[in-house]
Amino acid sequence: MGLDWSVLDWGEIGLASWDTLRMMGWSLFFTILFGLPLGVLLFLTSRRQLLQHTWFNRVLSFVANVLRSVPFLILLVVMIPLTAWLVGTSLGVEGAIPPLVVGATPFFARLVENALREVDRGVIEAVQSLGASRWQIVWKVLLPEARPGLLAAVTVTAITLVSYTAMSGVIGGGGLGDLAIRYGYQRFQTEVMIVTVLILIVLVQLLQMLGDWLVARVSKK
Amino acid sequence: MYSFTVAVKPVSISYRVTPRLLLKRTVTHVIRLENLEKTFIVDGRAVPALRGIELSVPAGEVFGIIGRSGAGKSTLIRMLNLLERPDSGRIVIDGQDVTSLSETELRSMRQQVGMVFQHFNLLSSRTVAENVRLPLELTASGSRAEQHARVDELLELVGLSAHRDKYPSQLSGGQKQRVGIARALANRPKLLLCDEATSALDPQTTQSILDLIADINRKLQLTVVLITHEMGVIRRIADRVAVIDAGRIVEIGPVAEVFLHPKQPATQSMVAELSHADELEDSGLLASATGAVWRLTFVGATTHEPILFETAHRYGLSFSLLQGTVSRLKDLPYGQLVVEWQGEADKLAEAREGLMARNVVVEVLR
Ligand SMILES: Nc1ncnc2c1ncn2[C@@H]1O[C@H](COP(=O)(O)OP(=O)(O)O)[C@@H](O)[C@H]1O
Ligand SMILES: [Mg+2]
Repeated sequence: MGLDWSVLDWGEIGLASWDTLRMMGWSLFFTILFGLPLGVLLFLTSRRQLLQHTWFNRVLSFVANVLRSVPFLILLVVMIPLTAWLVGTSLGVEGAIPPLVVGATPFFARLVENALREVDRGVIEAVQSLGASRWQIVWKVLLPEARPGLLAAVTVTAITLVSYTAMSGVIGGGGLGDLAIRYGYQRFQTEVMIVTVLILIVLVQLLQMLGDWLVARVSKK
Repeated sequence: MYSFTVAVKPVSISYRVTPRLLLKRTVTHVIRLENLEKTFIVDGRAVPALRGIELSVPAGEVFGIIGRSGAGKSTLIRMLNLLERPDSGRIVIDGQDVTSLSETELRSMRQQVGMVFQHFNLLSSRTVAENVRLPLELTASGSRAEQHARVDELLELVGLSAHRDKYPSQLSGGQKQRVGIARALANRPKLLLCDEATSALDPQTTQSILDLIADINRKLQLTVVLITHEMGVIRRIADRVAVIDAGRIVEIGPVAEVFLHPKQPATQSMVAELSHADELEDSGLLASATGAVWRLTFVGATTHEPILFETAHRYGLSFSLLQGTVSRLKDLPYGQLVVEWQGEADKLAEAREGLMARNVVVEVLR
């Protein structure tokens, strides 16, 4: 099978890449916005923590697990009406963002919870002994002390979002995944498929490198 | 001629009657614990951790609590700032029953009580100076400039000015504990709690940290409660000590008394580790002795007197030294010697009377 690279429309590929970046950026922003407090809450209400609340923690944990166990493709389809209501369309970059956020938030919240668990209990206790309020403990101790872990969680989530954006192409979500499906799959242009996959690989590599670099920078252990 | 009926009481009281204790009635107690009880439930089973704890600590004292691992020391000291709540009993800190405090009141009480931990518990994401500033940030006390000045003052006090911008991971254990102490003192507490503050440190560093704590106690008129499993720590800096065993206080008193004349088996075994009492048994010196073997214990000025020589000379005895320690309990010099005497029986009896008259406690071992 000969490949004909001249069929590639670089303008369209550039646009699709930009769309992917926008989808990832916006959904990452909202995922952190919702997921960080959720993760903090999951941690604080768990056993032997500052706001221990078994019942509340169980419900929250259950909801997070349910959302995490729904395959993203199914979430995409199920959410179409909600998405349309929220952003006025279920297509394109805007239409992809709500399902991406709903899919990634519980995942990110769990990662946040795990990162907070890594904070030394003794340190929390020491700050309690200084008369800190719970709010101060969260802001002055938990989040700063967990910063390397939190940045690693953001990196993993960003990369997961990239692969989710590719999937949202299936329902017309725009971006590189959309391009790959429309040209590469439906019109048998293997070249487009190869290029989009290569771009995705480079994007993921770059994100990982950036994340690792940031984690190393803030790590003082 | 000495008469047996007026025999001097074995325990010298000269070192017990310090000015602080003479003022006992007017002294304010920084800490008063009444009948504290605490039981942990572990996997449905009750683990009693503290039982019927009663104690008072007057202002300015260094109070030690010693016990084996698992005896309940940490649970007890953590009650003093309510990191742990008792099941029942009263905890009175500075005249205030703290178990009934509201959340906000509890927080301001904690700002008056500094705590130092075995594993330092510093924030790894903050520099030395930032760690020390944290308590000031929490209480929003003073302007930024004032906070910086206070941090400088504290770093000076603990001797870490040169390391202010380092992160805890770049410090030695002793330096980390100095940061911990500076942090605990930032809000000028009245009371300093030390939970095994030197147990993770080597002997030399332990010594320097204990010196620092003793120094702070003197300079800042701070009351200090420290817990440890090492008698050596108590001996160095404590004024009084409580021995805790299986959640109960089994012995309490001035360090010299508890250390030199331990009554409870738990105390005796801990003291023995330090004074090498068991080595005497092992050495066989006691078994092979032909004369009278006495353990002589003396404190204070007597330590500087040539009591053995004078006794031998005066009663026509000869002696050999089987074992001996001359050291100090905080600022109090003391000696503990095991001596074998050769001589006539009536002279020996007179010598014993003579020693007791000089405030030497004589225990006849053989
Ligand atoms: N949070 C806790 N939960 C259950 N048991 C505990 C807890 N803290 C302490 N204990 C138990 O209480 C006893 C006393 O512990 P602790 O005060 O830490 O002793 P120490 O400091 O003298 O070594 C131990 O048997 C310990 O296992
Ligand atoms: Mg302990």
